[in-house]
This record gives sequence, structure tokens and C-alpha cells, in this order.
Amino acid sequence: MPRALIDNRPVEVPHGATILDAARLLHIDIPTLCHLKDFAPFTSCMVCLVKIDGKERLAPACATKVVDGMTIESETPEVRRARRVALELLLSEHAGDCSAPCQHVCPAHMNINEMLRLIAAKEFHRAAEVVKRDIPFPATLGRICPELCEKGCRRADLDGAVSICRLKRFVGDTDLATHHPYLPAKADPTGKRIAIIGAGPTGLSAAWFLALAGHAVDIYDARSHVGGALRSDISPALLPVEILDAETALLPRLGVNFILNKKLSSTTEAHSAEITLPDLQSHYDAILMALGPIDPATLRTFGLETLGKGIKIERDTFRTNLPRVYAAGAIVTPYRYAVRAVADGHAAAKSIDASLRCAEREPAQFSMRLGALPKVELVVLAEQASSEPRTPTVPDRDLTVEQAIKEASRCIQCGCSKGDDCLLRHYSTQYEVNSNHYRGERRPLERINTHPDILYEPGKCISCGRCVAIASRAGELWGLSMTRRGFAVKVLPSLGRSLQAALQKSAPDVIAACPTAALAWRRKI
Amino acid sequence: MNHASHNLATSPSPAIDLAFVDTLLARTGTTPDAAVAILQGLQEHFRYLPPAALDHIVARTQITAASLDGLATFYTQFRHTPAGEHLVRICHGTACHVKGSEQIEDALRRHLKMDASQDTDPTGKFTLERVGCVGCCTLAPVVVADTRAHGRVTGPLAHNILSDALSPQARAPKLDIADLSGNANGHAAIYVGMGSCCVAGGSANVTRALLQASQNLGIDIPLKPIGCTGMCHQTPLVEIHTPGQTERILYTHVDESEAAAIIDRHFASPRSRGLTHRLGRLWRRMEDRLLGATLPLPQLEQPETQDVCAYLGPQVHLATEHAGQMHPLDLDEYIRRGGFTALQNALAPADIIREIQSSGLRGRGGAGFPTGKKWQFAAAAKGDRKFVICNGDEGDPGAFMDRMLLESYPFRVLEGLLIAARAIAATDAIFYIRAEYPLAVERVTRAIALCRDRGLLGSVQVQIRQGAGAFVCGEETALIASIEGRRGTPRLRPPYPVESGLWDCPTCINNVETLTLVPWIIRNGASAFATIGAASSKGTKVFALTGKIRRGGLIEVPMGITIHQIVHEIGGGVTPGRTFKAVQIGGPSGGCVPASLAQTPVDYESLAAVGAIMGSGGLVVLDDRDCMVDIARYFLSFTQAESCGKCTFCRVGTKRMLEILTRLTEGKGRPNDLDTLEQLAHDVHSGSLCGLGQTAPNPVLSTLKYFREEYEAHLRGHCPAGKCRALIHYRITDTCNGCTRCAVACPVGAIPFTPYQLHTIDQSKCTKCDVCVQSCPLNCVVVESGPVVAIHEEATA
Ligand SMILES: Cc1cc2nc3c(=O)[nH]c(=O)nc-3n(C[C@H](O)[C@H](O)[C@H](O)COP(=O)(O)O)c2cc1C
Ligand code: SF4
Ligand code: SF4
Ligand code: SF4
Ligand code: SF4
Ligand code: SF4
Ligand code: FES
Ligand code: FES
Ligand code: FES
Repeated sequence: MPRALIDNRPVEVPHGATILDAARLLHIDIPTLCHLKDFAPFTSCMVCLVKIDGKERLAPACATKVVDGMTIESETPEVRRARRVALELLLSEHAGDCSAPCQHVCPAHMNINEMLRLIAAKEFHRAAEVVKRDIPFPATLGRICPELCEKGCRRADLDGAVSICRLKRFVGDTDLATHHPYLPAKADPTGKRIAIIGAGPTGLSAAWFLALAGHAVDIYDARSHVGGALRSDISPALLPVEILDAETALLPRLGVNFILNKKLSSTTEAHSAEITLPDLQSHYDAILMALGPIDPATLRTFGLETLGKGIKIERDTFRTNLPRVYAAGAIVTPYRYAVRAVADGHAAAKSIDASLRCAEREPAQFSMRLGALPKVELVVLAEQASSEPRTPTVPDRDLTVEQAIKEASRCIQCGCSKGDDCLLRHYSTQYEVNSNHYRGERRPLERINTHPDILYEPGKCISCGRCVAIASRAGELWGLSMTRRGFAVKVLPSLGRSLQAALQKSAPDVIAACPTAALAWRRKI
Repeated sequence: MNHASHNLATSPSPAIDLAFVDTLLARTGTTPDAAVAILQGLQEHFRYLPPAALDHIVARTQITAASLDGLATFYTQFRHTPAGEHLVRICHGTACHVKGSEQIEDALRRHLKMDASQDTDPTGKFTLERVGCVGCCTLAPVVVADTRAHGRVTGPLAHNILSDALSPQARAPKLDIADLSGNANGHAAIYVGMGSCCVAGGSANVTRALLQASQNLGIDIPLKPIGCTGMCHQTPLVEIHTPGQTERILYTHVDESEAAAIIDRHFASPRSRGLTHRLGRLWRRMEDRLLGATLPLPQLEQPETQDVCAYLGPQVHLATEHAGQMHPLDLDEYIRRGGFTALQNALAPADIIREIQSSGLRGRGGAGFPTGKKWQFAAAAKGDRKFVICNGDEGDPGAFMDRMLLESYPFRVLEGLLIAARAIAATDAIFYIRAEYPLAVERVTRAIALCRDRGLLGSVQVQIRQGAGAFVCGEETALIASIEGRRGTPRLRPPYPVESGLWDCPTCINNVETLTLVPWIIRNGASAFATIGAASSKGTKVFALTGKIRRGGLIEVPMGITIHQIVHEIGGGVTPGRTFKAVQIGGPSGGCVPASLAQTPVDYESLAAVGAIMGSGGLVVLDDRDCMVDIARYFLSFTQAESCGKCTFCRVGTKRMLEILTRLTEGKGRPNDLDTLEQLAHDVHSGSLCGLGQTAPNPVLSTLKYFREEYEAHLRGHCPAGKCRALIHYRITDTCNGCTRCAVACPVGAIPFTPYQLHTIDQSKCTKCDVCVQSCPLNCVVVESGPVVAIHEEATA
């Protein structure tokens, strides 16, 4: 039996085994996009490249047999770079957005696309679930949000953006009106304690996400009420107090303690109405400074380093110079929009959670972004959406259920149907690719929507060949065909047949095997 | 190929004669490996692939719909929409590209009122297709109208091709060279070159005219068609051997109108000589072209004419033994000259392999793998069925060695293949020949039949398979896929074909030229071969010498000869007035060797050391008007179009490289483009699956290495060679005497007609077609780099 070394680890494999087989025995993760178990290697994607000692070029692990005495490198910078280039080249021809542009523009990165789809399907409760993954207080923000996301809406270039913000408010209001507003499930208690100073939008948002993560959270505020600037700076005509109260009231149900009328002091002998940082540091595992703007001189009396008009933090971890003390929101950089504060609180919560769990920070999830689309492609995208114009907005008037459904149906569903279980995206995240590295002509954006259950988007196909092979082995009469060549290759139902005719037996297998969202089930509720 | 409709069924489908399809299937069979031949039959009959016919095939054969669709859209030979009445194919091979094929296409499109997106003219008479090399590179630029090739086409006269295609003469029956065979002992009085170059130059018409003229005189003059003489730049060629004299007289560039005069001069009785006087003027014109070449028989040993002498001098004819003397299809003559003795001298397989091994022969198909070693592996491989395949796919644009060998020496190639078959105990032998070489296919088919009739094939099953327009099918694993009736996509090697090839049987694939050398080696012994050539590169190499060279053609030279000798001694250097800049060796996989390295010897290792490769033998000479960025872009556009599209690095990587190069030639380069290009070139080389992608970056890397400053100039918006259309303009210098020729010639009226005055060019109208340059007798039209405005500003500043 041949023996080899992969990344200096010895391995012995049966005759005929590939380098990929050998690596899997050692639990070395070599990315693969075209390899299919029990099928002859198709060697198209080339993301499985490895370096074989003594060979000038790299070799695809999925098809190269182990020869006795081989020395193989899989995790070296050279190999990782080559795999990254393969992924970047694939993405340079890719016509898809992992998530919709509105979601990118939204400071909280809320999955607007999915929210709208659920509203259109009258699944209001599930829409609230989606919203609250990123925005805990939709009824509140839905009233004061500056509609940033709508500036990124693709439909804006056709006949007016979808009324995202009002629909978010609709979701929040409908949720509150149920008397059992949606509360996500909490993780198991971690035994960690966290103090948040400041019960404004940043602190409340951070409290929400930290509580959900299983930590015990106390929020301190100098005032006698929660909400911070939301309550003090916004006219109740715009944001009725009952709405704010109703949404913040959900926090105690998650186990968050409000400790009001406690002011942060810099002196060591603080009286009972005051708290000090050293004191908090000795009682809590982490402290988040989430107060409103404070002048830098005062901040320095707390022992905090400052930068510009606020606390100096490490950008991606929210750490200050003091141990276990974090800062986010207006006390770092003054913001104009509450939604930014909410987003900042969420991000700080993630960082605190990660460091309390001693988890390694994961690379940011990769997201393919197409940018502006030519009109012709927009029209293609809009084909399946409602062709109604934007519902005129009347201030202070809630959307009716019918209006909401109608408006949400205008969304052209820019995000990807696979989103989180796309292999291409998974490896792109893992290899920290830059999808703009090789910009150039890409595949056209197309949606083949003729099958009742399947959506085929050739623009997202990476020509891996899996589907063609599976359909052929299944003995499909028409099957799928790899047509044309070079940059123009395209998988199509054979000889102009429909998808339905092409995939009579193998549709589930084909869809399970497609490494991208090119061939996917149509999103059903 | 027409990609406008990728959904085959959406094409218009007029009523289709399905009975024809059934007849076709009866001829081709219905197994999957017949698929390409079936599609070729459809294409030939309908001139496109009607969807109804494809459906019918799925119903009647074992070919699946998925594989049929994959094939039909893979090969460029197949159309999916009906074509016009006449198919006009414009060669965009390397030789034609550097000789201005783009301008020819522009001129034809202008004449037919077609824009760049149309492939058929509004009247439905003509369909234009861009094709890779058609194998007549010395006559570049070449246009093939229906079956007729036209060489040395010029923009202003390009439309004559169209009227020619419409003329009744175009339908004249084809000349069958088997009907012409000289006299019984193979000698003749008139020899006419009948290779593709010669035919493209008009030699079939010349032959007809010669026969007609001798008939008119009432005498029967034995006329013998011969294969390529290698002097393709002189075609059509007519050699006269008058009885009693020991010398041949060679006429070059013969026109059919001159046939009568030739016959009259050499064969008429003194009494009927009067004709010569009547043809006096014509005769004098011909004398210019009479090389004065009095070539002694039987060997061209002491040619007196300098040109011919220099051209032929350094050459050594092994693969092309008896060049210019043999009838391509005269089996008796081939045998008389020693043919088939190598096959019949009954060497045992092991001895054949040993002989080939010690001769040092290496594969001529590009990689240079030792042939004896390959045969040894193939002989050792076990299998009831074994194949030898002659790789005649020669897709390298600007090369036509294999075409010429197949056309001129079909028996020799066949003998080589049969010897290979014996050496490895093969049961089957296959010729794989690209469809663009119809004459080669025809001659090899006949040669096989003639040998079969004589019992020379023994028990070996010999057949021909035709490619269908895919360069990548020259790669051996793709070639196998193509024969098996699959898309021509390569697979990873190992396993190599010698272990597991066609139908998983051991398969030994060799290049045409490799096989052509084999009979010589067996006949003359390995050591005779090994004395010719260089240390690790033995024997000779055939090159297609083309481009900006005075004497282009097919040459066979000993390995180790320098580039300088080839270009200057054999080729006579570049056109007077121009300077030799570089040679492109090895086509799309090769590189550019600059003039400063012209002393590089031509052997596998030395060429690799300077960043080129031996390749299959394309050698394109470039002069100072050739832009190296444009050359790199040209080759990348070729490989990109020919990529099978399977693997990421080649499919997308070469596309991105091409985009950068295109940007540069348009003056839109970005500051870090050169770095990205270079890095990507290394990545594509390292990560591609097959040789096409692995070597595609070579033209880029070698030009970046030797001509980086030219790339940098393009970044600044200048094309120093004056080739990149977006970066140049035309200007008439003040030496213009107002002769008006340019104004008359300009096809778009960009030069106002102003007799006796300095002419000027309206830049807003000029399409940069170069016609004015060619038309000006005083060379007053100059090409300048950079935008016009800048020039004027400079002048006024
Ligand atoms: C893209 C590509 C095209 C090729 N085209 C040809 C060809 O046209 N003719 C040829 O003989 N070899 C061609 N080859 C090389 C063949 O794969 C193979 O090496 C050769 O036929 C072996 O014959 P030899 O050992 O006699 O050289 C090509 C290789 C590649 C990668
Ligand atoms: S297919 Fe994958 S990579 Fe492409 S847009 Fe969808 S999720 Fe992103
Ligand atoms: S159409 Fe829908 S998914 Fe697309 S940007 Fe607008 S709201 Fe987002
Ligand atoms: S559709 Fe999916 S499975 Fe099929 S080739 Fe494209 S990416 Fe691969
Ligand atoms: S390198 Fe190019 S031609 Fe070769 S397999 Fe890859 S895509 Fe096809
Ligand atoms: S002026 Fe321009 S368009 Fe006219 S002949 Fe000259 S190059 Fe061609
Ligand atoms: S998984 Fe190996 S090439 Fe795609
Ligand atoms: S005939 Fe045009 S390049 Fe060969
Ligand atoms: S083909 Fe005629 S001389 Fe070469």
C-alpha cells in the first residue's frame, strides 16, 4: 500500500487512492467543488490543487493518485494562494449576489429580502423572526429609520424602491399586536456576567444579543428610564412612548436587569448612586461602555484613551485600553441614525461573546456583490415580481395587510436562494477571497423559472459538471448537457427541452449536488 | 460558428428531409462513436444542424441527447442556423493576422453591407466565417470561398472573391490528380505542384490550361502533379523537363493565361512557333518570373539561381525526401523510390523499437517525448486490442507542416504508422485529421485504399477520423474523447494513453512528422539519423516559415541550425526596408524570440531556455511593424477561443488575461495591469489541466520578458509599432504630389479628392484600413502612434 506525506504527516492508503482520499484520512480539509464520490473525476474546478514535491505545477488532489513516497503540501501559502485564485476566477464570472444589495446598505445588515418574501407569503410571524435576527426593535426603528436600505434597493432603478422601512414597521407592529411578541430562544447559560453602561439603542441592542447568547446582563443607566436618546431626543409624535416601552419590555423577559439611576463616576469613593469602572471590572467578566457622547477630557479621567471625539477602541474587537472594558456606539463615534447604534451594539456583542467563549474569530462571511446592473438584467430579475408601482407613502398611516403584501411582492428577490449552504460561498469565506480581484466580463444574469419546483440560474453555474453526470447516470431521456466551450460553456437541458423534461428522475440528486445555487429548489414558504 | 442561439430548438426549422438522415445513419452506423461523423454528414447536407434532424438522431441511435447537444455545440464546424448560399471563410491564423486579415474582413463586410454582428449578408448569398489557419500560410492573407482558397488577398480587391464564387467557373469539376500520372516510369515533361498552397495559388487552373494548350497543339505531353516543393511562396509552380536535356526549367507564379506560351515555347514544332511571337509581350512578362533556374536532374544539387540555392541549400530532406519529384498518389513510384522496404524488411518489433530509440527521435508534436520510449511503454502494455493513432490535427495557426506531409507523402506517413503498429503489436491504426484539410483527408483515404488493394496493410485495421474544428483535439486525451464521440475535453494524465487510451485500450499517439521520419530511419539506420542534428535533438525538423519573410514555405532543416540561418539564409530576411524584430516559434504554446537572440540554435532545450518551444513547427517572422502586445493578444484570443472551457484557470484565467491585453492595445490599460497579467500567467500555467492552458501564457510571458517597454508604452497610450488601431492614426506627409490615388482607393471617402494638392485625411471618417498606405506610389502615407490631437498640439506648441 502506497505511503505518502501530506503536510509532513505520514499516511498509508489503498492502491488507487487519490490525494484527496489520503488527506481525508488525515482530516486535512481540501476544498472540492466538482468532485463527486463514485464518479470519475471531472477535474474542472481546480480548487483542490496541491503541491507535489518535485513537480513544477500544482495538481488536482481529487484526481491524482497517491504514488508511494509522494510528499504533498496542502496548507502552505503557495497552495492556499492558488486555491484562492481559482475561487476568485470563478467568482469573476459569477452572476449572483449572496445577499441582496439592500441588506448590504442596511447598517444592521438585516435580511430584507427574506423578510419581504415572508410578508408577501403572509407569514408575518416568521418575518418578525427574520427581522429580529438583526434588529431587536423593528417597531421602533421602523418609525425613525432614515430608509438607508431603500437607497440600495435594485428596484429603485426601475420604478421606485420597495418600501422596506414601512414594511419593517409593519412587521414590528404586527408582532407587538399578537400579545406574544417573538422572542428568540436563548442559548444555555454560560455563567458569565456582563455590565452594560447606557440603556440607549446601542446598549439595549447589545444586551439583547448577549442575553440570547446565554450571558447574564445588567444594564446601568444614570437616568430613571430606558431608551436613552430614543426617549429623550425623539418626538413622541414620531415614536410613541408605548411602542418604545413595549419593545424594551422584552429585554427583562430575556433575563436582562435594568439598574437605573446609577451614574458612572471617576472617583474611587463613589457614593451609592454611583458606579466605578474598577468596581465593575472586579464583578463582571466584561463591561460595555454604551453611553451617549461624553467629552474626551472626562473620558480620560476614567483612564480611557481617546481618539477624536470619543473612546479609542480596537476597531474589530471593540476593546478599549482597559482590560475587559469594551466600548461601542456614540461614545466612540457620534452617529446620526439609531439603526447604526443598534448595528454597533450587535457587533460589539458578537465580539464580547467570542472573547468570553475564547472562540477564534471566524473570518467575515464572504458575500458576492454584483454592484449596479444594466437595465436589461434588472428587467430579467423583475420578471417574476409584481409589476405594481410603489405604494404611495402617507406619513403616520400604517400599511394595511393588503398593502403590505402587495408592496412586499414588488421585491425582485435579489439575494441568493442558497445563501448559507452554498459551497462556493463557504470556501470563499474560508479562503478570504476578494471577488473583485479579477474583474471582467461575467456570465449573463438569467433565471430559468419554467419548472414548478426548480429555479435554474446559469449565471451561478461554475460548470463543475456534477449535474450533467448525475442526470446521465440516472438514465434521463433528455438530461442536461454541457454545451458550447471556452468562456461560453453553459449547462442546458439537452436539445432545447424544458427543465422538466430534462430532469424527470434525478432532480433531487442534481440539486443536492450542485455546489452553488445554480440549480436549486424554488423558495417555497 | 454561430452562438447567437444557444438553445438549439429555438432555431427556425424549415421542413427537413428526414429520409436523408436515415440514409446517412445507414452509412455511418448508430453507435456513439459515429456521432461526429453523423453531425458532419448533416452539416454537409443541410449546411447547418436542423433541430428536427438532431431529435431524429436521438430517436434512432444509441447517442444520448445530452452528448449530442454537447458535441454539436462544441465543434466550430457545426452551424445552428442556416447559412447563406456561399460560405466565405476568412483565415485569421497567425500568418494571415500579421498580413492584415482583419482589414480583409472589414473590406468584405463593407462590401456586403454587413456589420460586425451579422454572419450572413442581407441578400442571403454569403455567409462569412472566421476560421483558424487553413494551411496556406505562405499565401497569407487567405480567404476560402466555398471550396476554393484565394491567397494574397488585398483589401481593395477582396470583393473579387465574391464574384468568383458566383461565377460558373467556380462550379468546374475538380481536377483528379490520379488521372494524371506522367508516363509509365514516373517521368514526365511537365511537373505541376499540387499541394494546398499551390492549388490556392491557382495550380489546378494552370494544369487545366496546360492540358488544353497541349491538346490545341495536338500533342500529348505527359504531365505529372507533384507534392509540395516547399517553395510555397512561389506558387503556382511549373517545371519543364524537355526530352534530351538534363535540366529542368522552373517557372514560378504561373498564371493560367501563360500556359499556352509555356507549351508553345517548349513543345511546339519550329513551324508552329509563330504563336510565341504573337504572345511576345506576355512572354517577356513571364521571363521576369522564370527563375532562370536550370535545375539539374535528378537531384537539386547545384542550383544556379541564388534564391533557390539559398532557400534549398541548408535544407535536409528526410521527412520530405524527394520533395518536388513525387506524385502524391503513385504507389508504384513510392515503392520504386524505396517505399515500404522499411516495413517489409521484417525487423522484429523489439528491433524496431531499439532502432528508433537509438536514433534519438523525439516527438514532433510539441512536447518532444522520445518516440522509442513511448513505443516501448505501448509495447509493454497489455491488451487484446491496441491502437496506434496518427495525430494530424495540426491546429496551430500559422503552421501547415503536417498538412503538407499528409498531402504530398501519404504513403510515407502510412508506412510510418504501420511500422509503429508492428512495433507495439497494434490491431488498429487511425488517422485523425482536422476537417480543415480536405485535400489531406482525400489523399490519405486514397492511399489507404491503394495499399489495402496491394495487401500492404496486413492484418491492421486502418481508418480515418476527421476533427470538426477544435484545436484542443490535438491534445491526445481530447483526441481520444473526440474519436469516442465525446466532447473534446482533455482529462488529467496519468494515466497516459499508452496505458489506457482509446476505449481504455493501450494507445500510442504520434505526430504526423514523427511517423514520416520513421521509414527513413529504419531504411537508413539509426546512426545515419543520429549524425544529423544537435546533441539531444537528433535529425531534422520541418518548419512552416511564414510571416514577414521574403521566401516563406516549408523547410526541413537539421536540428541545431540557428534562427538567424533560417530567417536570413533560407528565408532571405524580411521585406527590404523593414527590420527583423522577432520570430514566433511554437504558435499559441510558444514564445517570441527577439532578433537579438537570433543565434539561438533550434533544438528542444535551447528554445525552451529562451522561453519558446520547438512546438509543432510554426515559425512566424515578425518585423518592426508588428506590435508584440498585439501578438500576445492575438495568441491569447486564439487560446481563449479554443479553450474547451472545462477547467477554471484556462476558461476564466485566459479570459482575464485577454481582457487585460485588449485593454492595453486599446490604450485603456490600468497601472497594475502588467503585474496582474504576469502573476495570472504563472497561475494559469501552474493550475490548468491540460497543455493548452498550461502553455497559453507563453506568448505573454516571452513578450513581457523581451519587450516589456512596448507594454509600458501601451500603458501610456502609444503603440510603437503602429499596429494597434485604437492607438494610431494615418497622416499624409507633405511629400504628397497630389496624384489622388489614395483618395480614389480609400473605401470610406476619408481622403478628399484634391488633384495636384497635398491630400489630407479626415480622421473622423478613417477606419484605419491601411489601403491608402498600400496605394500611395511615393510612400507619403504614414502611420503614427498616439492620438491625432496630441500630435497637432505638439506641432503648434
Ligand atoms: C492543445 C494541444 C494541441 C495539440 N495539438 C497537436 C497537434 O495538432 N498535432 C500533434 O501531433 N500533437 C499535438 N499536441 C500534442 C499531443 O498531445 C501529443 O503529445 C502528440 O501528438 C504526441 O506525438 P509525438 O510524441 O509524436 O509528438 C497537442 C497538445 C496540446 C496540449
Ligand atoms: S451561488 Fe453561492 S456564491 Fe453565488 S450568489 Fe449564491 S450564495 Fe453567493
Ligand atoms: S428588490 Fe428586494 S431584495 Fe432587491 S434590493 Fe430591493 S428590497 Fe432588496
Ligand atoms: S448547474 Fe450546478 S451542478 Fe450543474 S454544472 Fe453548474 S454548478 Fe455544477
Ligand atoms: S487547460 Fe483549457 S483546454 Fe485544457 S482542459 Fe483546461 S479548459 Fe480545457
Ligand atoms: S484614410 Fe483611413 S480609411 Fe481611408 S484608406 Fe487610409 S486608412 Fe483606410
Ligand atoms: S475537486 Fe478537484 S478539480 Fe474540482
Ligand atoms: S492560412 Fe492563414 S494563417 Fe495559415
Ligand atoms: S503546397 Fe505548393 S509548394 Fe507547398
